Amino acid sequence: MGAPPVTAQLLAVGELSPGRTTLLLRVPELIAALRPGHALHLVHAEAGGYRLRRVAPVTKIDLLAGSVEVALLPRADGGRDSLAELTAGAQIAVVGPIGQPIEIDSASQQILIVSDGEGFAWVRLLAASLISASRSVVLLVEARTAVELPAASLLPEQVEIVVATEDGSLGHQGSAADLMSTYADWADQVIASGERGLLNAVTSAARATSAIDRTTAKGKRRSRQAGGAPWLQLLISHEIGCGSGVCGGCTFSSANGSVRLCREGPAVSAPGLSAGTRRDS
Amino acid sequence: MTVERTSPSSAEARFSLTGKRPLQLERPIVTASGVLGFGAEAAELVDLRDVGLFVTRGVSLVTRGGAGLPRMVEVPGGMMHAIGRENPGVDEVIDRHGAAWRAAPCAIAISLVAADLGSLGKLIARLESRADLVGADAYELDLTFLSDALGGRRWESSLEESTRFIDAARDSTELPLIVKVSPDVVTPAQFAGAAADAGADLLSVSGSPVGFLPNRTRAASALAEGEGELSGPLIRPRALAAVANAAASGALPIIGGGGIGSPADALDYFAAGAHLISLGSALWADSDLPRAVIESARRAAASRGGSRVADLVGTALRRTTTR
Repeated sequence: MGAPPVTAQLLAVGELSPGRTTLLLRVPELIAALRPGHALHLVHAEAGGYRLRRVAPVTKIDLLAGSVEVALLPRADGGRDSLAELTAGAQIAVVGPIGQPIEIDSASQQILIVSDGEGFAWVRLLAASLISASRSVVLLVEARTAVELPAASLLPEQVEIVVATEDGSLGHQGSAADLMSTYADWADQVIASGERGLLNAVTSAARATSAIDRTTAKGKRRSRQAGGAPWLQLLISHEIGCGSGVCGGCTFSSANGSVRLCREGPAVSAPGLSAGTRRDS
Repeated sequence: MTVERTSPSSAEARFSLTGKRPLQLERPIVTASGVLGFGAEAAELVDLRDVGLFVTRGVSLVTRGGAGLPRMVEVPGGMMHAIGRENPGVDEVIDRHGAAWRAAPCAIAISLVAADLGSLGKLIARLESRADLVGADAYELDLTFLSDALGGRRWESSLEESTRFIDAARDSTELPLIVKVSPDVVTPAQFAGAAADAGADLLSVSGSPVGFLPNRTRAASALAEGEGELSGPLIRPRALAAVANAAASGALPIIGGGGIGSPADALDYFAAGAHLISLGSALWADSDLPRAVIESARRAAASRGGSRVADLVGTALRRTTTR
């Protein structure tokens, strides 16, 4: 049997960015195992008593308080989210951690994070953790318009934030991926998180900026592999059904075979990414 | 072919199919195809000793890569998914999972996926040729899959094509055949009769009806495949109607399912005429559900003065038909 659910107490309901709800949960049993890139499954009764596992990325951890903040992913149908309507004191069954942590090599000192409003929930904890570990972090973040950007105060002040907006209301007008060329050579590793369009653009930009290998400041050739970790990881935000790798709901085909986001993901190495294909029986 | 209920003292919840193609289940609980994978990994979520029949994920003759992402989204009252029957093909499935099937503490049904009759025949032939490695107790014929002969529509949308499909399977095996349809099936009662005539042994009215949802921008569909399969409470009344309609025909024993999230939901299916209960995505959130359903059914039977779960079957149906 898989990990049994534990009961979490809801401490507060908040907002990560406009329309993106967070839940602050007291769940000390799970806290030690959680890393950036992990999510929790919230087992919650929907209308009619039907209980679904809802995937929620971990956005913040407070070890002393034994609390974890998770973000609710927006519903595809734009409908009401009963989890967002809970109030402090409610109890929620929680399973986790879901997925693998984002791989950061011990030798990587300079990390570039590229995100949009959808993907920010998956990388906020990463940025904070990297700063705590004395790494340098640049966040390229994009939104349709300035008011949809996550607040800078959600990140440690040491994070260098570079903004792109589609309408030009703040920062660069266009995509965060447009800014990749400025930072790609600086970065020991790149983590991109967001809608499929952003992930594709980041992958293309990364391939355009340089070849697989590059020369370090000391004149040595080094691979664009940061130690054992991939240089470019794409974090794919998606519903996760069973959380055990059996249902196929979060699986896609890659050059290296099937990837289950709940088991091998949600962060995947970019070169292996390809669209799902169908072959008839 | 008859449905026999064994004595309550030995196993009041046991289900036995007797006749030429017997099938004995220790519990009236079936796992819906796809929900728990092929079997070996299922133990991560559910104790298979609580289950009567484990239905595998769909198996095709050759590899199916499956659908692109997104494959799964929430919808009001449930979920919509389009996995694409991803599987590595029959030989690899047997190699990887045959040992787990043979060792399973419950009966195993292999869910068969085929777009044409030629593929179906070869698929069954492959399974039969390796029967000692497979250890299957039954086959599920997935008529919610898409038919080449019907231009990519589901087999279940045509009574005539569905009958041909069942006929072809019957000619290829002596194992019990479970025919799976969704509430979208044309006239369930008529379908049950035709399926029985073609050689089916059970009718599983537990498949997912078709749904569609645009994404939030309304510039594309929410699922990569466009249409998807619905599950959850939103389909339960439709599934119950189809179960009741099929059960009233008396042509075949019925497996009923769709949107069951609690023991009470399962009792509704027994009352509508289901002999066996198919549990789906609710198992992800509640691994104790199979045991809870059986306990609840036993209590419900006792409260009616009976001692067998089978006494619950069709109680609402009888009232409906006598009115």
